[in-house]
Amino acid sequence: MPSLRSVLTASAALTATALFATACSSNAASPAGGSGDGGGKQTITFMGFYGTFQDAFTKTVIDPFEKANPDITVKYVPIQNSAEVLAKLRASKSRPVADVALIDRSVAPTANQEKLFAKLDTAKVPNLDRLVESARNKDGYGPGFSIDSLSILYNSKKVKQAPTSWNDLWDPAYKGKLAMPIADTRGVALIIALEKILGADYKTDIDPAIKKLKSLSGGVETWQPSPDVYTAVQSGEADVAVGWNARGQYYKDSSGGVVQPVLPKEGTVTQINTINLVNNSAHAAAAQKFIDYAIGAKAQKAFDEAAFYAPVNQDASLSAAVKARTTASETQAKNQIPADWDWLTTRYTTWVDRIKQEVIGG
Amino acid sequence: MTAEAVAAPAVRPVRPRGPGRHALALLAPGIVALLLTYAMPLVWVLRMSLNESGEGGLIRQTVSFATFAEVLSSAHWWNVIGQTVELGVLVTVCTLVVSYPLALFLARTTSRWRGLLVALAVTPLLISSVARTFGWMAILGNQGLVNKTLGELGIISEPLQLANNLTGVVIASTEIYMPFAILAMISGFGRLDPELEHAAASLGAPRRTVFRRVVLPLTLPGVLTAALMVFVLSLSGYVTPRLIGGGRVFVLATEIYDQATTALDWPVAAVLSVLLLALFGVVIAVYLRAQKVLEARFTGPQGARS
Amino acid sequence: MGDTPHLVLSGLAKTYPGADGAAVRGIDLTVERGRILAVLGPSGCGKSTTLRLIAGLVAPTAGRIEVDGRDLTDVPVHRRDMGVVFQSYALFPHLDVARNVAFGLEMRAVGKAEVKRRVGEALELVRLGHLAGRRIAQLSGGQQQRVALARALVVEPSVLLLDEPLSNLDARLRSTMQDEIGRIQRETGITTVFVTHDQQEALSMADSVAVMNEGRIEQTGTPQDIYERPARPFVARFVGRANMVEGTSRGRDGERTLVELPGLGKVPAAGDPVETGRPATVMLRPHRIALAAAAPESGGARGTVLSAAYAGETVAYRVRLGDDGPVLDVERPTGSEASHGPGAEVALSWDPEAPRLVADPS
Repeated sequence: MPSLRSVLTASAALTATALFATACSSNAASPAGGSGDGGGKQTITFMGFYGTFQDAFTKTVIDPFEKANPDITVKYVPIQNSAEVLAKLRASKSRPVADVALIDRSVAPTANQEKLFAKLDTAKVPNLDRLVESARNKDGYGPGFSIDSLSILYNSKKVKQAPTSWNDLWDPAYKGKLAMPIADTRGVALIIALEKILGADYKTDIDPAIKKLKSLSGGVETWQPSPDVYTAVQSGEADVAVGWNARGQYYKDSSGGVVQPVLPKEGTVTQINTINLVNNSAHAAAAQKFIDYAIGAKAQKAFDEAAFYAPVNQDASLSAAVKARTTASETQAKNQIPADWDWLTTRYTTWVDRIKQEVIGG
Repeated sequence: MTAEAVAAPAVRPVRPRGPGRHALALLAPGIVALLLTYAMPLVWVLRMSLNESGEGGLIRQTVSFATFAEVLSSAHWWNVIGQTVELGVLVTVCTLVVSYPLALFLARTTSRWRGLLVALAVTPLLISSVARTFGWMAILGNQGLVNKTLGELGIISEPLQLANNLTGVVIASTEIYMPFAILAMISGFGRLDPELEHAAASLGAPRRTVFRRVVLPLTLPGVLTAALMVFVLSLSGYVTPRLIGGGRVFVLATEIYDQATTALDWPVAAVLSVLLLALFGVVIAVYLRAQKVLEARFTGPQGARS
Repeated sequence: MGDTPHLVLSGLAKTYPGADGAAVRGIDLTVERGRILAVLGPSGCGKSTTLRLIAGLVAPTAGRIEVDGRDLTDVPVHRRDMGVVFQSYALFPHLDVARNVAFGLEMRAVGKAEVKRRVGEALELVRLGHLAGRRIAQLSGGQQQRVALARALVVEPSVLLLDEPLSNLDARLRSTMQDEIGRIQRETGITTVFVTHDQQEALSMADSVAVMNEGRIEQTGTPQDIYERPARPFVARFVGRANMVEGTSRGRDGERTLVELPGLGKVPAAGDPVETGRPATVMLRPHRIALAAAAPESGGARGTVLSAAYAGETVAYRVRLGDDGPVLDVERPTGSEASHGPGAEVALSWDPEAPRLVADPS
C-alpha cells in the first residue's frame, strides 16, 4: 500500500549492502593493451602510487626511459596503496592488469608467495648488482626502488623549539596538539624505533613500546588526521606529528617551510617500496628493462632529488642538500634502526591491532 | 471469477497477457547491472568469509567458519559492533530530532515557496559528503570556527574537543543525513491533514494536545521510515567516521576497510561485512514489524475489513 | 426551541493576508435557539470562511461573534464549545470509531464510565452502535459522516457547524443523510449552521437561509421567502431557475408596480416598488408560466416555441415573445397537457403573484 515507503526501505537496504559489497571487492581494471613480446612498439603498464609520487616518477623515470627506448611506452596506473595492487593482481592472475608494480616492502613477501610477482633475470637487470644492501631481495624477487623513513613533523610557526628526538613527542608543550597516524606501517616503524630507545628487542617483546605509546595517548589530538598528516601540520590543526619523510620534505618546500620534517637524532626506521615484475606479464623483457632503468644510478638520482627518497643504488650520489634531508645522510646512515620486514610481515597485523586496541582504544 | 468460469466454455480461450517479452527486455539491463554490481560482489564476499587468513595477508582457500568463530570470540570486534550500533542510534536520534520540525513545517506549509524550500532542504545532497565533512572539520576543529569564536570571546581558554572524536562524527553525520530524513518524513507524512488538527482543536484540544494526540501519531510512520534510512546509512557510513573521527571511532565500515587494506586480512573483512549485512537484516526485520504494528492502527487487524 | 437569538454575527469581516479582496465583507446574521440556518452560495463566495470564523479556525479582521450574548470573538477555537463537522469529515485515522467519538469528552476530562456511556449514546443516535470498534478506513462515506456527526454532538456543543455536509456523498445517500441530519437535529434541538452550495439542500433542510455572494449576504429569509420572493437578481438566479426580463416602470397598480416589458406589454409585478420611468427587472419562474395553443383572436402574451426538450417529468420549452422579443424558459409538467412542437404559436399566462420585481442593490 505505501509504495513509496516500501521502495525507500528496499532501496535503503539495497544501497547499504551494495555499498560495502563493492567496497570489499576491488573493481578490476581491464587488462593492459598492447601486443606481445614480438618486437615493434610495446606498451608496458606500471602501477605506482598516486599524487606527487606519480608526477615525480613520470618526469624523472618514465620520460627519460621512453626517450632512450622509443619502442617502449610506459602507461602509469595510479593506485592508492599496496592493498589495491594486491587486490588487482589477485583478481587478474592469468592475464595480469600490469607488468610492473610498486608495492610496500611489508606486503611484498605475501605477493611473492602467492606468485603474483616473478623472479627477475639478473642478466636482464644488471643494476641489481649495484644496489645497497637493504634494497636487495635475497630470493631474486623485485628489489627496493625507493627508501623512505619515519620522521617527526612540526609546524614551524607554532613550535618554537624544534623537536630533535623521538622523546620530544612526550614534551608536555605538545599535549593535545599531536597528530599520530600510527594505525598502519608508520606505527610499526615507530614501535621499532621506540623499542631501540627503550633498550628492548622488538622481536621478543613490544610491551615496552606499547606502554610508552599508551602514556602518549592523552596528548594526541587525532590518530587519523584528514585529509592527511602533512596538511594537518601545515594548517596548524596539529603542531607536531609523525609522518613519512619524503612527503614531509615535499611539503616543507611547498609550504614555504611551515611544515618541517625532522629525522630524529636517535635514527629512524626506513620503509622501502619494492619494484616488481608481475608474474605472467606478456612483456617480461621490456618490463625488466624498465625495472633496470628505474633502479639505475641516473634514474635514482633524478627521482630522489625530486621526491626526497634515499637511493637504492650505490652509484647514485645525491646533491649534498638533498642528501641531508634523507636517510642517506651521514648521521642517519650511521644511526639507522634496522627493521626485518620479512619477519615483520608475520607480525604486522598483530601490531596494528595492538596499537588500535591498546593505544588508541585503551 | 465465477462469471468468467461460467462464460469460459462459450468463449475461445484468450492467451493470457502476462509480462511479455517486451517487459523482460526492459528489465534485463537493470537485472544484469544488479547481478554485476550487487549479487556477484555479495557472493564473492560470502565466499571470502569462509576462507581463513594466514600470515601477512595470505588467504587460505577453504570452507570453514573458523574466521567467523575468531571474530565472534573477540571482545574487540564485539566492541566495534557495539560502537557501530551506538553511533547509529545516536546519529538517528539526533537526525530525527533536528529534522522532524523542519519536515513538519515543510509538509504543512501552504506557502507558494514550499517547493523551493523543500528543494533547499535537499540541496546538501548535491555536495559530496566528503566535502561536507571537511566543512564540519573547518567548523568544529581546534582551529575551527566554533573554537576560534569562543576563544576570542574569552568564553573558553582551551579549545573544546568537538572534532576528532565521536562528538564530531555525530554532529557531521546528523547534518549529512538530514536531507534523507526530511525527504523520508515528508513522503511519510501523507496522512497529516490540517483539517484533522482543526477537528481536534474544535473538540477542545489545546495546541500541545493536538500535537501529542493527532500530529505525532499520524507522522510516526514517516518518522519510522526516516529512522530506518538514517540508521542503515549510518551503520554503513564510512566517510564521516573516518574523516572526522580522529582515528578514535571504530565502526564496522572503517574496520572493514582497514582489515582489507592495512591488515590485508580479507577473510576477516568479509566476515565483518557479513555481520554488517546480518545487522541490516535485523534492523529491517524490526522496521517491518514496527511498520505492521503502526499500520494496523490505521487499517485495523488484518481480515476485519468489511 | 424558541425565538431567542442564540448565535449572533455582527459586522463580521475577513481579509486573508496577501489576498486581492476581502473573503467576507461584513456579515450580520442571527440564528435563533434550536434553529437551522443554511448559508448558501456559489464556491468562493465566502461561506466556508464564515463557518470557520464562527468555529474560531480563522480570526476575523473585524466584527463580533456572540453566543448567548457572550462575546466569543477572541476565544480560541478549543474553548469555543462548537461542534464542527468538516467537509472531509476529518476523522482521526489512527483511532477507532469509539475513540474518535470519545476524543472531545477526553479533552473535557470526563470520567471513563461516563465517556463510555455517552459515546454509546452518541453512536446509537447516529445508528452506528455496532461499528464502535471499526477503523475509519473500514467505513463507507455515509458511515464516516455519521461518526463525524456523533463526534461533534457527543460533547453537547452550544452550536453545531456543518461544512458542506453532504457534498461527498452520492445522490441516494445524500437524501438519506438529509433526513438523518434533520432527525438528529430535532432530537438534540441544537442550534445548527450549515454551509452548502446546493440550493435544494438549503431549502429542504433549513429553517432559514442566508444567500451569500462575493463575501456579502444578499438575502436572509425562510426558504419560501428566498425562493418565491427573491430580493435580488443574484438570489433569483442562484436559487432555482428564473427568467429575468428588463423593462421600465410605468407606475403603480394597487399593491403592484406596472412594468413595461418588451413583447409582453404592461405587466403588474409584486415586490419593492420602482419609481415611474426607471428601469425595472421582472423575474418569472419557468414553471409558473402556462402555455396554450394560441387562438388567433385572443389577446395577452404570445410567442413562438423555439425548442422543446423532453425531460421525463417535465418539458423544457424556449419561447420567443412576439416577433423579436426576449426568449423565456418555460417548464411544463408532462402528461396532463398538450405539448407544443418547435415553431408552434403559443399563448403565455401566469397567476398574478408570479412576476416579481427584483432590484440590484444601488
